[in-house]
Amino acid sequence: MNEHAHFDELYERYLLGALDENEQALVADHLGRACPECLRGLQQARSTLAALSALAPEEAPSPRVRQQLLRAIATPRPSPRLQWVWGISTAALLVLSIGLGVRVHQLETTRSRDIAQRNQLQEELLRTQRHDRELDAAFALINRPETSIVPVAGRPQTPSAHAFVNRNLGVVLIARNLPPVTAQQTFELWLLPAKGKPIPAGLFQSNQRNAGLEFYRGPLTNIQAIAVSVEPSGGSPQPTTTPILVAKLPA
Amino acid sequence: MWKLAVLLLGMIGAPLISAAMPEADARDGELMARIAQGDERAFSTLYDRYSRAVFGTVLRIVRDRAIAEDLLQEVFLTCWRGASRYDLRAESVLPWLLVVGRNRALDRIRSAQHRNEQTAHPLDEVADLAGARESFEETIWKHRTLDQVRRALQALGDDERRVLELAYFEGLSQTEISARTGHPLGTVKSWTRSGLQKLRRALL
Repeated sequence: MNEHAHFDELYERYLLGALDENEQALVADHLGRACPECLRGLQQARSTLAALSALAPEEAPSPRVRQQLLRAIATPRPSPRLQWVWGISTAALLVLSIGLGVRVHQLETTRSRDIAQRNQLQEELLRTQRHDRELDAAFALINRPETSIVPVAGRPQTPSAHAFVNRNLGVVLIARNLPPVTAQQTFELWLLPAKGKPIPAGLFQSNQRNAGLEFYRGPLTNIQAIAVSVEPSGGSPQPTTTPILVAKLPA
Repeated sequence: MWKLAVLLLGMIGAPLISAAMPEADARDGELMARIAQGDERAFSTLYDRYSRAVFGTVLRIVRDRAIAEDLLQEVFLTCWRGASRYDLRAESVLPWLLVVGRNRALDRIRSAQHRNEQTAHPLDEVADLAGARESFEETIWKHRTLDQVRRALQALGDDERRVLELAYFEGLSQTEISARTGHPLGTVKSWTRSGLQKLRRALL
């Protein structure tokens, strides 16, 4: 029997959160191999599971959500007057380019470069906008006198982090030397309660310098420790890999 | 002279601006490829196509329009940011959006429950299957999987559908479903397995 055929059925229950602990460990171990068959199995399981969404009625969100999203991803555009000038300039350039294929090629190259630059600026702007409000709140937490600083030891030793912990407001985690992850993986922060299963507390990516920042907002009632693990993109309902960072929180 | 230039621009530029033509029929894969290049128009088309479905799922889980709208933004921003990193073109976009939305919504619920700000949703609020399915199918699964989804959901028995709903929309474990419904754990597991098997076979 094909080993992967058995896992196809497990993946559906894994995504549904319906595995017992032994099965969970089995799937986690198998997924750690990140083979193409596993990823295909996960995608298939996701499609099967998503059909259950058809049991929920469609709902129209407020038009405000669409406006905010488009604003968040948009870059400032030239004024109508500048657009007119740009249009005429481009027209003139195109007229001059008739018969000059080389010139057209040059324009295309410039255009591609402009698009790449614009995309880079969009990404930067998006990141800035998204982080602004979070950072304000994060710095407010860090500056509170009752906030404590907890060094977070990594396993293996390479990754490390500092967690700014405020029992009433939440935790700001700043991690360094994070291990490289694939495009199908993400880092996930967990709250470990005194009793019960780990609680998902947010997903984050590392930057080019292998550093990452995650802010969990909310009281840390009965939380004994925090941890970070590498999970499949989209996050997991429960950790599927050994945590790379763990810290016990002060009482 | 400038009129001639504009006319020429219109003729020469036509192929260059073909992407600005109505694109309601553009396939998901094409849209994702353009979103990966930072195409805002493709992104808004994808949003218009799937936001109602994702919002319906998320709202069903969190039961709060403001929180659901916040989560909807998160899901689509993740899609915008991740379009170039994740190989979304390898699979249909909608299942990815739905499952990510479901996971985010359950995370939010669990955090809220942890803070004792949220009470459990009573089971009798479960939406009517027939009405929900009709609306969903008409606009979302139309082009490709309408018949498959219909067959799949009709194939489920009442008990199978109930345990799958509790797991999918409320994030309950098998043990929690057993406690909630009063059915033995082994029976709950059996219904979950058989329900998923029926779904999978009908969607193949």
